Amino acid sequence: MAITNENLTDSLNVYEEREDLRATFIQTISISFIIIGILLIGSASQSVASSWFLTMMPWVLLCVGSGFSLYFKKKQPAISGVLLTGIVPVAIGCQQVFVEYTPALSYLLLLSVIIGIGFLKEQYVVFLPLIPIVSTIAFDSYHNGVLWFATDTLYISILACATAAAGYGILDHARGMVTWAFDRQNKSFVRAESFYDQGEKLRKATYELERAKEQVEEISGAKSVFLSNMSHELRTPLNMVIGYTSSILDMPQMYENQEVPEVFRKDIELIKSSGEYLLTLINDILDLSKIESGKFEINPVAFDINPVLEGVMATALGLVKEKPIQLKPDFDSDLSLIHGDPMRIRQILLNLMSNAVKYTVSGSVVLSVKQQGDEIRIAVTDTGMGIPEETIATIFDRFEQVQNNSNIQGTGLGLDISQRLAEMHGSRINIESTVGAGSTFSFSLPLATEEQTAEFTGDETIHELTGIKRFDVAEPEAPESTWKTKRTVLIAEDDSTTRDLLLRTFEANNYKVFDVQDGDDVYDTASALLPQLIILDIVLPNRDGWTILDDLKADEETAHIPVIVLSAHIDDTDLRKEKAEMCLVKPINTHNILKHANQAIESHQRITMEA
Amino acid sequence: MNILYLEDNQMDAALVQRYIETTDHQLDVVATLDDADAVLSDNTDLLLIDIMIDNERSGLDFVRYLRDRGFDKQIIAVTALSSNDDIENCREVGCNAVLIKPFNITQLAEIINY
Repeated sequence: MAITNENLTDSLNVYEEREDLRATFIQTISISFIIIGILLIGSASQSVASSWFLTMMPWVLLCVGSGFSLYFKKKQPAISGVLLTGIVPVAIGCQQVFVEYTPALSYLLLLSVIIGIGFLKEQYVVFLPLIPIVSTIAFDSYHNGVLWFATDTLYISILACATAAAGYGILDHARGMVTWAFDRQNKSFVRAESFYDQGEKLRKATYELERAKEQVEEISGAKSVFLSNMSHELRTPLNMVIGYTSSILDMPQMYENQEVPEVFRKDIELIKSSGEYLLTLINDILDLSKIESGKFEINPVAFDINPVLEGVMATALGLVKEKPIQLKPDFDSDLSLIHGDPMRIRQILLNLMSNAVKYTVSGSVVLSVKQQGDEIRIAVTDTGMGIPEETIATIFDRFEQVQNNSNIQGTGLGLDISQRLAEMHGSRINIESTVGAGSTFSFSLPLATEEQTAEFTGDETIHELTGIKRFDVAEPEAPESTWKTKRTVLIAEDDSTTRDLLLRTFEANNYKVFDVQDGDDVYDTASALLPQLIILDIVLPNRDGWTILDDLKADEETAHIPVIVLSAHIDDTDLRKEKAEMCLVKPINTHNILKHANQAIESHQRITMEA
Repeated sequence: MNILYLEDNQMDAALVQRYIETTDHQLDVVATLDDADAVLSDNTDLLLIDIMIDNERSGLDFVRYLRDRGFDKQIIAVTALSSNDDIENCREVGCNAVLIKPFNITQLAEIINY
């Protein structure tokens, strides 16, 4: 039972109850003795014939006295007691004087005195019985003309004393019990009071806690709004930095057709890349603050990881630039749908891949995706500088970086965010590393259940968070094509008109398209992406198309990819025909090239199935 | 092409203006929703709109209002808001594309010339 204010006043009523209890006690005893008195007086008076008035008077006195004593019992227990102790003996006295003396009546006298004990101090109580005893014996002796020890009253007195003593004992015991009961009640009352106090303290503490919680929530809300506003504020000047540096570098028409002098170019590019770095920092900080304030939400759905993987590989390629690093995909074919937030999985993968590329001077970075049981295991393995044992423990902490090479640029937040994102998917990123040899970062994701797969729409709304997002160029899905059969094609063409034409043609026909313009990039990109088809212009800057073709066929990983060669000269069509699927002469017929592309891929699929 | 750009940040507007001047397109810049409503006409071929006008996302309501009224030309949202929800909101009210700030000039060129 909760301790409330009402209960408290109830406890205070204990005092009133105590008075009640006392009054009731008196009432009970007095009633019982009054009844005895009435009986005794009644029986005695029958034996003597006398005036009606004299016979009735003791009765009347008794009744009146009892009435008064009952009336006063609650408010003035003292008066009640006096009346009791007074009336009964008076009645008896009258009886003796006016009617007839009977020793039994002295009994009543004595007993009435006992009641008086309840109202007198303990030390005097002992003497009380002497008064009626002595007076009774004296009276008897005088009345009957006998010496005191010969009177009947003596023996009755002794008997009465014994009864009185017993009665006293009983009463005392009763009083002891009542006192004990009151004591107990008192103790309960004290305990109730302390409970009430504790309850009050608890209530106050809870109230203060709730106030504090409200404050924290307010601050957290204010913090979110602040960060969101700051993010917006920070992006605005960045718009100037990135906007104008890119204009200066790429849009001479905005500067009276003057190209930026070479001597300035490098520095301006540095300004631009710093601006881009600042942008990633802002995005990271915003993500992290959202994660911390619990406002970061992931939207897990069943999704196909293949497009995500391809996108990640393409972006990672951009990071490799001129480093001698080979990017290799190692994906199980026929991966099932995964349950997770595709945008966030992409974020984790990009972070891991960019770290791998950053910390590897030369060698390879492998992105492997394997299906095991009811989960998919993803691992990024590099041949980089590795991570020492002690650092592995703290590497996910904020701002920790492997402090080795201060040239390595990074916000220090990426791994922190990646780990938290992994945790939100019920997973964890594990690290295995050997210093000097390389590292592997891995984590796993659950496959989509049947229920989740049923909700799969194939609508991949993974929005890039920078640049352009176009809504109205939805790839027209051919009715029989499902997520399994989306094809990738790599287009290697340096002539922008031809390239645009090819890009548009393939994209409009449900292909995922990647393109390169430099001969040096073709082999690297192809081995990273492993597309289903390569369209290769024979004349590319920096590397001869035929050489590239040889490279592709020499590597067993890329050897199986069908290549359609584009050439400006009819003479070339005979050359190296066994290595290319076919050689098409420019200008290209888009209808034809599509037909050939589809045929090449399909026949190749048949071959691999038969193998 | 006649382009209308609703943008209340002077510097962002200037950047776009600088680029458009080098093309054959015509650019009008307005800074408030009321002005946009007044200037918008059947001649407008493309609307660039900053979603965070007046520090509220009132640009979205404006796009919805335009689409309801029957404006069927290209609308491109230009915005610093970059959460998935914000981009989805842009698509929902009827934008054809979103250009996220900060953007570089080639991205702007691509989206206008598409």
